[in-house]
Amino acid sequence: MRKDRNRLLKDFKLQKEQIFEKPNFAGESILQKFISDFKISSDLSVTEFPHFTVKIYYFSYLINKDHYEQFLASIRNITAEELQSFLNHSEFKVLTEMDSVEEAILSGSAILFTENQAYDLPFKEGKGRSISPSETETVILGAHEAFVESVDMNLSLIRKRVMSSQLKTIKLLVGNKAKRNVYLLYLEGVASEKDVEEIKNRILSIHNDAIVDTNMLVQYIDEHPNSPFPQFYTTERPDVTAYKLFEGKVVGLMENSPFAFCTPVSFFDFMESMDDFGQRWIVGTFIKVTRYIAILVTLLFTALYVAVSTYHYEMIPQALLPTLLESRSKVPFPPVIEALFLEFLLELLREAGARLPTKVGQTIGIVGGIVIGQAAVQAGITSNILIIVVAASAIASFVVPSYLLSASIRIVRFGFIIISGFWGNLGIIFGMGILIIHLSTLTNLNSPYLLPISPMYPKFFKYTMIRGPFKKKTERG
Amino acid sequence: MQMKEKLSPFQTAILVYLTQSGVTLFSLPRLVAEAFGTNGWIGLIIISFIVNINMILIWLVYKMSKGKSMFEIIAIFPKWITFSFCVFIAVVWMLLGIMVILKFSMIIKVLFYQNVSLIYLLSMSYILTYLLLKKDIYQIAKATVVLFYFTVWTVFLLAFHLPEFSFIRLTPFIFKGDTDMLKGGLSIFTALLGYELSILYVHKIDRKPLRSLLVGNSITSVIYLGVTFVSYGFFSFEQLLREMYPVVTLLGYISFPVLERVENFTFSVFGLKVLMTIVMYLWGTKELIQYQFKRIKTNFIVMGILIIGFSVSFVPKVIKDVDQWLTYITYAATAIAILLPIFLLLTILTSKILNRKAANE
Repeated sequence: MRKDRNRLLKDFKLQKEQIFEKPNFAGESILQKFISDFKISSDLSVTEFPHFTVKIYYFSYLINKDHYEQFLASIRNITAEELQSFLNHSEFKVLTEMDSVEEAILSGSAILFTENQAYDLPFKEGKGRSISPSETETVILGAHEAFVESVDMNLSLIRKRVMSSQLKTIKLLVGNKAKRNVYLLYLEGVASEKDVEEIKNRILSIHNDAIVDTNMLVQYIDEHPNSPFPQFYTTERPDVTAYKLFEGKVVGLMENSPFAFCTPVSFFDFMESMDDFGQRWIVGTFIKVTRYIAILVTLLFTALYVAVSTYHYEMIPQALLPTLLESRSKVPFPPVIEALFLEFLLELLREAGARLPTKVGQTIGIVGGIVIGQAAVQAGITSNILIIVVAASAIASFVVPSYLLSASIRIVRFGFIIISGFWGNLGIIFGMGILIIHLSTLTNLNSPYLLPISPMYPKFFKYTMIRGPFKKKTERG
Repeated sequence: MQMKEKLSPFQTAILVYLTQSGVTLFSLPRLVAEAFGTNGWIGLIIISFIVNINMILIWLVYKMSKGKSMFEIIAIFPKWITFSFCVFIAVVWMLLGIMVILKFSMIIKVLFYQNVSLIYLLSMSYILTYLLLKKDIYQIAKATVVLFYFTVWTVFLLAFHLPEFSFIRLTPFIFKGDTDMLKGGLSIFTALLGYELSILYVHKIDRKPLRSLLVGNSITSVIYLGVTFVSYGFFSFEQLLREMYPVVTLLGYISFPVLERVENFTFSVFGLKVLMTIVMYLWGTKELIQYQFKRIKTNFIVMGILIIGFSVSFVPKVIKDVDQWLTYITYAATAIAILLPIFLLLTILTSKILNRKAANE
């Protein structure tokens, strides 16, 4: 076997050099087209046979070599007629269009060209990262598997969880130059057909050269591209995806992306974690409510500090006033500058920590901790109380389970700090007004972003606002 | 879940409540005391009842016209009649909206932000108004519900005053003192104004229009009643008559362990409630103008209304002037609120009779 293999490999090397020679048999226009399309591709391999006019083209790293060799062994000692009859009776698909040939070879098939036909030999190799726990959406209770870059693997992860013939998949191609498969999944009878149709049309209407990731794709199909808030829910957890499918949502998977998108979703989907469902409902509800408080703290805590210490000293109780005044007395800047400086430093730290390897990241943590914690106060650049305030709002921002939403809220927070520096409490309320108006007019796939609060559907509260107790019977949105 | 472009009963109720609840709330307990005297809060119930009757009239218009909008009903009149009719109502509603913005901005300037120029305060209100006004009623209603949740907690602040509440201050007398039932009653009626705008959107309500309107008014009435009742037990009657804005004084008594004197914060939150009153009146204006000038783009109309509003805001110089303006405008608005449904009802009835005659001939 090994000897065979070595011989074959040697053959391959020899044959590679002959790949782009003009074919020596006539009538194979599809082959000519193929060769002209893949002109400068030195990684394309070809196998030729001395006793019949057949060529097999493939990318050696995309196919499973063992399967391919077995196939070669099986046809090596047969005659041309036998090969033709073997191909006629085999399950190999006949490819008639150049587009399908191109798609097949790029997705890991070997293409066998006979005198007048092209056959798809699916020896696809499932190379890629193996399934590992999610890094961006960790849970304590619940499954730990996360999606990988291979869409087949991801589909299998979902199929394993949604074992039903009602799970439908639609395959779409996206991108003008680099085509990519996008799979739309939904449960028939549960998801709205209108939603499926709408999302399908939107994906098909994208005319862009290359879209490389799900998180990029959703920005091409959302309704409010200028909003800072994420509108499509993306996740790398198959269990969340399966749950969303059961909720009647449409799920999209993209080739080479470990993220799935779900739609239509609301703001409250971003506030959910699978952990809530593993907990007792009372604990789960408590955690959910904590998250809403955390959002308010992130948005308003620093802004409120700036407003109070700039304009509204009367709001501070007398017992607290000396502490605040003392800590502010050494600082030469107005509170808004002080707060923006510290918040910006914190954002830098966070961003540095996110991009660096874990070991260097720890150093950043220590340096940041000491600089922000001690030196800044001693140098008289910031006040002690502000550090507590900024730290609290930073911690609160990490409570939000969705990375996308957490990032949006941190950006919006800067707006609140600046506006409170100008107009105090009134500014905060003004900002809140704008935020509320903005959020309540956002939509995702024509479904309101703040559903079920506005428009109000109290019967969905127990699935969104809180984590209500499980019912023995299923209800759907 | 796909949303129908209709107002749900809950949204309608909230819309009615937030349109009604405006700047008059701050002086309401004093107005009630001036109008009805001791235990005047009972009088509020009577006024609220009258509003309910008026709402039933609006509902009758909807019912008898079989779901037609106001514009479809008045379409039978010649153009010059509907034009002057619509423009008159539009001007009254627009002035009312503008004066409400102005009054709130002036109060907030006098009480908390003496050094801030009025232009800043007005600009803030106009920016928020513009953001809402360029949307349709369905979008406005969606924002209204969130604003409702954001502001409704202020009602529970009344609990802070309960320890100081004393039944002795209520006195055993009912409607005694220097009262002016008619004029005072009218001024309290104006505090509940805002419901009349429902004539423009009653046909857009999904289901149970009457009940949602009545619930909206009930929410307003209960909150007004609560505030007035607590004020009667918190202040003495004499004190109540002398307080310019008793509700602001009430807010001043609230303190939390880490924050005290939060009145400027809560008062700003009230601003969002007032915002909805303004938005809805200006929305009414926009609808009426749009009906007359169908060719003009909505955005131009909105900008026009806001620019005129901004300019008019500089005519009255002090709160007293604004109050004077508001008095006359609210009288006109009250007349519109009561007469408009009656007029529409008569129109429907006569057109029905005429149609029947024509059919018989």
